[in-house]
Amino acid sequence: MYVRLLTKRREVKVPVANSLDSKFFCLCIFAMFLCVLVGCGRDEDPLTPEERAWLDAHDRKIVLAGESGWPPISFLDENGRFAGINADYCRLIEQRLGFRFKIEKVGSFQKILDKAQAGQVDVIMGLMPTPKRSQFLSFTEAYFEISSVILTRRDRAGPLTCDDLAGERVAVAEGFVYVDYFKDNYPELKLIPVATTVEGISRLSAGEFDAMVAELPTSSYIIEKEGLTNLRVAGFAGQKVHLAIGCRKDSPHLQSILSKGLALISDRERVAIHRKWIGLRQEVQRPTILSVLLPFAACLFAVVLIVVAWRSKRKRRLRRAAAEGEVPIGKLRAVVIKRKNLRVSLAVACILVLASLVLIVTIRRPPEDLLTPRERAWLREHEGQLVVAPDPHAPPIDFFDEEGNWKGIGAEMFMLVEKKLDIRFKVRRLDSWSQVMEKIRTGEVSAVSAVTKTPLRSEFMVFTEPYAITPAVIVTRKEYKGKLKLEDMRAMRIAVTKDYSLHEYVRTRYDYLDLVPVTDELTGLRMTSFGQVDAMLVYMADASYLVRKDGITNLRIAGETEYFSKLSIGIRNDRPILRDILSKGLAQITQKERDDIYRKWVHLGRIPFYQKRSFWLAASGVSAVVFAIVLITLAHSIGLRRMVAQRTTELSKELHERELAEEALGEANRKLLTLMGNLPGIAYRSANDRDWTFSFVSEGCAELTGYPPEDLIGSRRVSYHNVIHPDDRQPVWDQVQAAVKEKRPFILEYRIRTSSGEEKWVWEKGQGVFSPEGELLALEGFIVDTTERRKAEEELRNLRNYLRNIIDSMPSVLIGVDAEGRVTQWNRLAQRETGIDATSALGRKLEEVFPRLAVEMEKIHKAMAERQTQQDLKRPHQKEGVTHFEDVTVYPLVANGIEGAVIRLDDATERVRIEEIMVQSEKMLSIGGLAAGMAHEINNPLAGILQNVQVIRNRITGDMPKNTRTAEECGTTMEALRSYLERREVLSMIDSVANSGQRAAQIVSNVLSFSRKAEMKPTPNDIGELLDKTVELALSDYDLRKKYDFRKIEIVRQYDAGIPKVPCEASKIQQVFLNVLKNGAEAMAGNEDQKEEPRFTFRTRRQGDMVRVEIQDNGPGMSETVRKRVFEPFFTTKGVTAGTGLGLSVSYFIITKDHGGTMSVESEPGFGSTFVVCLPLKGAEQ
Amino acid sequence: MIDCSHGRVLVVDDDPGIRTSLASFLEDYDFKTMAAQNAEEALELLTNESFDMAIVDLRLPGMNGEAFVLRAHELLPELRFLIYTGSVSYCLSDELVQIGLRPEHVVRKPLTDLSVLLECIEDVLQRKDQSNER
Repeated sequence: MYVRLLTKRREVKVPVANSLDSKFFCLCIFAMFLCVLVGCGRDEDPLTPEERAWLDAHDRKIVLAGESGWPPISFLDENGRFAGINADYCRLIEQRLGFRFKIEKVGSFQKILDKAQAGQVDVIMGLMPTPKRSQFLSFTEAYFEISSVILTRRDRAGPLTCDDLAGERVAVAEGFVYVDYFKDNYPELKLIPVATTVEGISRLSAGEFDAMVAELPTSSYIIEKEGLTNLRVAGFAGQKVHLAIGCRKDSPHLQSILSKGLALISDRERVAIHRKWIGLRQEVQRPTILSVLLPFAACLFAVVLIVVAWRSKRKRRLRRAAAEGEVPIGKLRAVVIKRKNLRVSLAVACILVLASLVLIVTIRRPPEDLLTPRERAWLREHEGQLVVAPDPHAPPIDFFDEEGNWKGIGAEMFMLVEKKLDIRFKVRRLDSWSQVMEKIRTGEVSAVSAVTKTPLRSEFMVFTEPYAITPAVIVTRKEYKGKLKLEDMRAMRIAVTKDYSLHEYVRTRYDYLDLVPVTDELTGLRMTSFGQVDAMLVYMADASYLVRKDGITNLRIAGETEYFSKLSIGIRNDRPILRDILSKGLAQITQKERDDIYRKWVHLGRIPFYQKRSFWLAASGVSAVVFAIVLITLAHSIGLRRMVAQRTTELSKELHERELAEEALGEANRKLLTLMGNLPGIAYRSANDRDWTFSFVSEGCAELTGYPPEDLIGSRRVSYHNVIHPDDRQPVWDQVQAAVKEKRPFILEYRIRTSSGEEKWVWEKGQGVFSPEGELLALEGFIVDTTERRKAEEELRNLRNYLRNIIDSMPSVLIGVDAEGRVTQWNRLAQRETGIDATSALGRKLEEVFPRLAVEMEKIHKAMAERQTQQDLKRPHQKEGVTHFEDVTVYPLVANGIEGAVIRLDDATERVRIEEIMVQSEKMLSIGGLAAGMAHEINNPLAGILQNVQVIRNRITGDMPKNTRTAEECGTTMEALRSYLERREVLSMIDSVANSGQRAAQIVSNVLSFSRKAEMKPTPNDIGELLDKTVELALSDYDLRKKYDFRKIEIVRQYDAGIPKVPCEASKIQQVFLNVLKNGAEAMAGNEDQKEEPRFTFRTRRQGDMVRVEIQDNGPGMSETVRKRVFEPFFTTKGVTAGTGLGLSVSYFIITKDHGGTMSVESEPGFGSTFVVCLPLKGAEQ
Repeated sequence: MIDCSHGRVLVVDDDPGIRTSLASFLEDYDFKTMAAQNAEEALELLTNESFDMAIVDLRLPGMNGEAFVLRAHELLPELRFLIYTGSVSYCLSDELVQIGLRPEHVVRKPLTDLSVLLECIEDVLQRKDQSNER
């Protein structure tokens, strides 16, 4: 039977004396055990069928994220497993509900939150519910409450509050609730987010911040584990942290499942988890030092005793011997002097021991005021108003004795707190517990010394950490046999102290029970004893105390409840500052003080002897003394024996030592041989001769060469020289001789042939062994097989070459760069493009070795950052005065975490050209089709105009009888009419209409030629001749001469020799050339900036199965837009009157449609234009 | 040269500008000319009046020119035809060739000089007379 005591969260079990029959106790324990067994065996599923089905479907699929840097709440143990308070809760929930989480280890809490928000994590343990988080998480009840504290380095004195930290750098783990809390409440703090608490505390220790806010258990755990002795806890941060389980809001059952799982964890288990992880070890250290030191002192003392005893004995013997005249007086004197020395050293030892004891005592630091100035001020302000009211009738926790003095565990704890904090409360004696609760509710009482935290009470009270825990039990009269459980007690009248937490608990949990509230526990127990009620629910500690005190003998404990009362100090909730003050006081109570209080009230002196520290001190003292006595006896007998044995020993010693030495040598040899035999290679000793005659060779040679050592030693069956590959024999000899000559070690790599003829590569290291005179005695060394390594290297080299070849064979420029833009790969085309070879390009900045890619650096960085391919198509660049186009593609390298990119450059010049031509011909075709359709439509109205004009002319100028007749009928003559019309120029107008109509008809007919495939009669023509004829034509053309003097234009002819004749229709081709010449002449004539003399350059050459004709002018050139539209019908840059704008399009159709050739123009503003006509030669053969 | 100034010509064209001017032109040269704006009207005229030849536009509303020529030839095998069209790519169909039309009987609009048409008409009528004499 016991009460469990929480001493600063560390628990000790203290047996409780009781007056109830110990047999019953045994039975109870057994019953409880059975209970637990039955309880465990019971297979009642707490989940609803839907929840169960959902859970089964999601077994091992629910992702739980565990933080790795938050000990002892959540961290990774040395095996990399998820450990800590969260892990233990998590395991219990898994065990209770029969499923497994999928645990994902995530570095920092912020990352967990991010993942949860992104829906990658289903469950997070150990986080505080906040409105912000509730947007995407739903929460269970809190399962753990911890205080947050301010940590600073030790060099900063005094207690701290958050107000003191204004303007300082304060670290907080990112994602923690503090971040928002501080932002809202202390905006003047400079918050520095750190990834994890561990990281933050380490960096705080390194001096990166001024302070850090973390949880008390976490802080003390990390400080202790990491040995960060320069840190201390400087005060509370004001924010209590409630840890709950958060789960995805969109998951239907998760929250209720986990809540149920959490509810299935008993208080006992919770306490066990907390005890396992949380404890302030420093407190235990001080007694440990003492208890180590005392036995040490005892031992020292014992040794001193032994020495003294031994000396005195020897002195006696010497004195006796001196008296008998065996020893000279001088020796006796020497002994006495030695004794004096001994005394001095003894005195020194004693002083040392004393000094160290004094030191230990003084090292205890003087008590510092724990309270902040604010708290102290508050206390001063409320002096005399602080009232504590204990439970008047709850021994041994709280009660008043006959003289009216407050007694009990609670009383003493509270008084101790008062003493520690130097504060004073008024004690108010009330009649019952209910009254106590009433008064604290009304505010007449400030604090209650011992109270259990319940939801109901939390409405008007706040609580310190619990300092004691005691289970509630069911007490009945002895005639009730058997074990009782609360749920079995339906028909019974059960007494319970009114307004106790137990009362609240049973009333809400077991509303069907017939409860009889009583004013205090003693009353209830008496009622039970007298049969007024059937049972009483009471705390075990109270029950045992009361039953014994009151001498009630007919009661027994019939069963335990699952309820534990955790006693804290309760404070009115409008005074949280008082709670902080009392918490600090409570935290100051040492283990020993607590133990003393509990022993006094609960234990009644029956601590088992082995739990007393004094016992252990005494025991170690006694054992030291016993040990000393044994030593003395031993020393004495050894002294006697040594005299006898000394002579014998001396005689046999030398012989024996020699034997030992020889044995050791043999052993060492054997070890060496075994070792060498196990080596994967040859250790050898050989002569420096051509045969390399071995005097020793290790077992490994059989595996390496195929010859056993016996064959090689002394070159008996085969010499090592012959084992070496014939080609390598001489080099090996030369290298070894050179090394020996210089007396340095040699390292060789060569081939050998094994007994089976296999070729192997070996690596050898050896050196000459020289006599002191410098004479070579032998060679010693080690040979090892490197065939595999060689092979691997070879394969690697081949693979590398193969890949290199592939990259080099690519028809693109391929360049690899690293994150800094340095070249890591440079293929053959890159080399050809830049003229820089791979070896000098590697490692250099891309923009240095490939300047025109400098503009692509942005794309390269973008590709690396976004891990996406980037493209830059048809980039123009100048090469030897010609515009080339290239496609640049940047591929990010994503494998193996290598940051970098590959740049691919493809020459797109040809493609761009073809594309342009295709677009052009496509466009022209559609225009041609359109024009033809339109021409047809225009023909009809044109015919109307032209016909009417002719009829009009006929009727005016024709000498038809009808004209004369009609004129006469009208009273005029044709002559008069004509002269009128002539004078009024009507006739010329009519001619002008006819002219216009005819021109329109001409245009239409030209346009029609776009779509009409003319019936060609190609004849072989010399292109050069055609060009020359065209020039002659141009010179004689009247229209042309009118506008520009063609003779002023210089003509340069560059005709390749041996160009075959081209099948074409000469007149049409001349028409084309004439059009081009006209166009060029016009351009040059119209160019005011013309610096050079106008010049045409004609070039002809063969290009595959085509003949290429270039007509280049040195006029102003064309802009890109003009160049692209120059062949379009009606496109003209000239004035309206200058031309129809059809010349070049007609030419285009003549070349492309009629002759199956191509026609294009190359031009740039300021550099003239070159018309290129290509005509196929093939037509000739067809 | 045979005087053909009394030749009777039917002009079939839906374009009034062409139809009337052509008719006027021929009248000025003493042809007896009538005009129809579609094939149906022309056929009716053919049954009531007598003509030596017809100048036919190909694209007509309703029955097209070619069908009209075939139909008219069926009714009046003696009638001669000239095709007068704005289409550039037109070629005589086999049926028309069978009833005696030749490429020179196709005249393309627009004619910058109508005397070309006049020559064609005279040519056609002359041949007709020759065949009649035979």
